[in-house]
Amino acid sequence: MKQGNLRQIVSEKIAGKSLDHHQLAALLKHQPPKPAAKRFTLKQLPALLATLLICLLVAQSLLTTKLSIEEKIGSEVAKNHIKLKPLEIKTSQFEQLQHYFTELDFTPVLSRHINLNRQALIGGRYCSIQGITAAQLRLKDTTTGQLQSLYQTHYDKNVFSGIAGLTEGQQPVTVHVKGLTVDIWVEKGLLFALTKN
Amino acid sequence: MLTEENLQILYRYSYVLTCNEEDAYDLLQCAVEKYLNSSQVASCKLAYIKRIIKNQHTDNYRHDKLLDFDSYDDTIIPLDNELTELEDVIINEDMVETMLLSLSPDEREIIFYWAYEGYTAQQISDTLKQPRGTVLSRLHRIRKRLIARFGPQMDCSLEAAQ
Repeated sequence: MKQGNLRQIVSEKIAGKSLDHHQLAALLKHQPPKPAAKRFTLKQLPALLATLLICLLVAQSLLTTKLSIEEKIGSEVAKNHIKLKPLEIKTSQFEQLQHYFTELDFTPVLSRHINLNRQALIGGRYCSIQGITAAQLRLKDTTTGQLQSLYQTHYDKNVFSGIAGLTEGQQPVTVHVKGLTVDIWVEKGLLFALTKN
Repeated sequence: MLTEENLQILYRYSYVLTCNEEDAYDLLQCAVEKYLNSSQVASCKLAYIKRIIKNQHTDNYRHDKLLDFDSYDDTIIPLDNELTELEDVIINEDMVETMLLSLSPDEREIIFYWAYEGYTAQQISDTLKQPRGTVLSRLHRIRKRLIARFGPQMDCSLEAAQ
C-alpha cells in the first residue's frame, strides 16, 4: 500500500475522484444553450436611427479633419471668390492698392505669375486665409472677361509649411475646388492663391 | 458555461465535504441547478458554486442532525508552522477515507484547499473569509485529532522528535 506525506496522499486521493461520462453528460445537459441574437423590433428604431446619425456625423467630422492644408486653403478662397463680396477699393492702379492696405503686416506685391496686360486689376478688400489677415485683389481676364481673385498673405511656416512642393520660387500647386481651379504658390515671402474659373 | 474541468473540480470539492461519491454527485447536481436558475451573474462562478455547495451541504446535515459544531479549544495557540508540521504527517493511502470521515466538514474543506488546491494558510483564509488565525487553529486541531486517532499508524515527525 502506498505511503507518503499527508498532503500528497490526500491530493492524489481527491484527484482520483471523477465524474463518469454519464454524470458529466447529465450535468452539462442542464446548461442552457448560448442565448440567440435578439430580434430587431420597431421599438429599437429610434435608437438605431440615432446611432446611424451619430456615425454619419463622426464620419463627416473625420473626413473634414483629413483635408490637407492646400485643400483647406483652396476651399476657403474658392468660397470667398464665389461670394464676390463688394470691393473696398476700386482701382486699376496697383500702387493705390498698396497704399490702401495699411493694416497688413506685409506689403502687397505683384507676382511674376500675374500679367497685368492680360489680367486687369479691378480693386481689392481685406480678407483672411486660415485665420491670417490677407489681401484679396480682384482681377479680370481681358481675353475671356472672367473674374479672378488673387489672395496674398504673410507666409507663416507654422501654418503653411505642410503644403507639399510649396517652396519659394517653385511652380504653383494646383487644387480643384467647387468647380474652380486654385493655384497656390510662395513668392517673395508671401503665400499667393489665385482662383480661376 | 461550466466546463467539464469545472465540474470535476466541483465534484471533488463536494466529495471532500460529503465523503461519499453518491452524495457528492447529488450535492453537485443540486448546486449546478441552483446556479443556473439564479439570476445573479457571478464574476467568479467556481467560487460562487462552491459557496452554494457548502451552504447546501450545511443545510442537509443540519436537517439530518449529522453536523457536529465543534467548539474551539481555548488551549490551542495557532502557530505559523502548522502547515509544515501537517505536511510532515505520513499516511497510508488506505487510511485517507477513514481520516477524512474523522474530520468535520469544515475541517475537510480546509484539507481540500490545502492538499488538493495547494493553498497557503493565507489563501485559505482569503477564500473562506475566515481569519488566518482560525485557519491555523483548525489545522492544529486536524493534526492533533489525526495523531490522537491514528497515532500508532502514523509516522509523525513531531512525535518522533518528542
